[in-house]
Amino acid sequence: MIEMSSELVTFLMLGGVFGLVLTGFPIAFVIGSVAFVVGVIVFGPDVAYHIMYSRFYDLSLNYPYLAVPLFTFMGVILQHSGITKDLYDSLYESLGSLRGGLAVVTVVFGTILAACLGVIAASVTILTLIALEPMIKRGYNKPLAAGSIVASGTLGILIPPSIMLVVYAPQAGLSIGQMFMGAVFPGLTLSALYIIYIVLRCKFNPELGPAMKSEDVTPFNSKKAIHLLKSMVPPVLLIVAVLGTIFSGIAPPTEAAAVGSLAAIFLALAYRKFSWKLIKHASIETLKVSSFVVIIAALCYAFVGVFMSAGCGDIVTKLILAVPGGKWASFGIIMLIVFLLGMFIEWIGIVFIIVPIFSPIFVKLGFNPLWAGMMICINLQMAFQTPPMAMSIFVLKGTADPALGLTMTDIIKGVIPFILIIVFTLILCMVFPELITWLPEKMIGPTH
Amino acid sequence: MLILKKILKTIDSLSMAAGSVGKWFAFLLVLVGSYDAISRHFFNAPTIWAYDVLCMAGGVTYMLGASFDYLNDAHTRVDVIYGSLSRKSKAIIDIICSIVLFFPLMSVMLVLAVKWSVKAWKIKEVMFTSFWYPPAAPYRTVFAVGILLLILQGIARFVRDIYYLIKGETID
Repeated sequence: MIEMSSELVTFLMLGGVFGLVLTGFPIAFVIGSVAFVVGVIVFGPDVAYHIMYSRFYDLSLNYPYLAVPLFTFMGVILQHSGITKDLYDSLYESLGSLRGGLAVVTVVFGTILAACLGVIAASVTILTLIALEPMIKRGYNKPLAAGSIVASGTLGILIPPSIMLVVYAPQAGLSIGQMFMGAVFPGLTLSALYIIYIVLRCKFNPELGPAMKSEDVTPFNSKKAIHLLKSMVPPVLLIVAVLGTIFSGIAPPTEAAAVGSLAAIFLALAYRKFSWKLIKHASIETLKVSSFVVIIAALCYAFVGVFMSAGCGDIVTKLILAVPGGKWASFGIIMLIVFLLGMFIEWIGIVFIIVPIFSPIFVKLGFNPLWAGMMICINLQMAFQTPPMAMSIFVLKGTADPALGLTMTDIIKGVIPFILIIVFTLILCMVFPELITWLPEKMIGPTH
Repeated sequence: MLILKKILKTIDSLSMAAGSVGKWFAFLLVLVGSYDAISRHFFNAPTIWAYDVLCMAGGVTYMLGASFDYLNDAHTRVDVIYGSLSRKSKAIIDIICSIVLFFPLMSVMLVLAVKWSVKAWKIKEVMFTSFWYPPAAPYRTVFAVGILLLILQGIARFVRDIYYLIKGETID
């Protein structure tokens, strides 16, 4: 055991993690090893080994986190049962004649996908495969097309059910249901603002998103309406039912997600898409996603255990509180840190390390923890779209057909306005905190 | 070399097998979770065992997925720099990082996991998370097996990286 000041330990642990993850080695093991080495130095091997093992083991048996595999499972089944191509086609037929209509369709489609899937890679992939080509073929401005896909695909992490909210809530001492409710209006606000932005830009600059030629437009008839309803209502109803049971407190998210998965299987049966192959595929995808998420969670939990036991939490709190300019300045610094980290590091690492450290600070500063948590989650929306580490952009670029000639510059150019919209939404939520807190307060009472 | 190749293939197939066994536990989550929710809300008959079964099934899914993910390179990396490196530089980074950041941590975890599972069988440890009090030993054992498989897959990757570095070609 070596005597070290808490300041030095704080520096070693945070600096160690954020420096070493840049090597590109899997972040779970980087975070675990930093905690392990510092733990051995500060507390001696026996205590450190015990902290590491028991925290890893305990978290692997965590009940709330079961919503991660279950929502993943539900999403994969829904993704393969009718909701994708059909839904897009019907939306396309209804809104195609509008200027910029296809980009609007993309956002609407992305919002519905976001409510079905909890993982963004899945929504961005589907959007790229289905929505990119029609837009570019119809002469849409490439940055606008790319921006609308990236922005609305990323809504998947905010609009419930979302894996990010599932892992965020327990760490901040909030309930997952509360977080889900808090995210509803910010999510819908974002999607509404995206649509307004697209419509306005195409109104003033029609070349950006030319409307369908009148001879291509077939009149909207009852057959189309039925098609639209048939492809949209069942999955949307399913999601509303799942979220409804969570919001009304009938069932915790884990149970709702399990029943939702079962219902998704029945939906696949009804759409004649069911097969054992689908179940196997969904199960293995679930294993793949939930395993790496929970292993990162478990090793971060161990990391935070060492960090807090070494008194580092107090150091960070002191630092943030020492920022001149009162509580809003401290809040601004935290938001800035999250934004900057988001440019370089995947959200999982940020959420699991930052939340346990910053949550007590929010409480000390007198902020509503639910509101503050939701602000962080909205902020993290940007993390997916800001290079160099921009998951949504990578997924779009990786999935897009090279023949469409979409360049990285197009994408980044297209994403910037949507990032500004997210910043604007953050300001909106600061001015009108009710945007976040109204629904949860209405449903379950005070959120303080 | 042929033996080495065979060993590596065996490790790969172990990880594949872990994934294909583990995936049924993911499906089990759906079945048990729905069964419990439905029997509680519609038949007013909550089960005493579902909570622990769910937690353990989740644990088995994650732990058996650990090596499967390592085989498929699905553990999240921050590839801002890593992604643009040559295959050789990637191999060098992975070799160094495995020695420093992977093997020490995971070996200690394995030793503790084995110790605890042996102890759990000996003292007939039970879980206190519900009133069902299930034995803890089976899950503690799976936990240890999951880490063992992860280490084996880590070794396989390590050997492949070294082979690539020396020979300039992949072993497979």
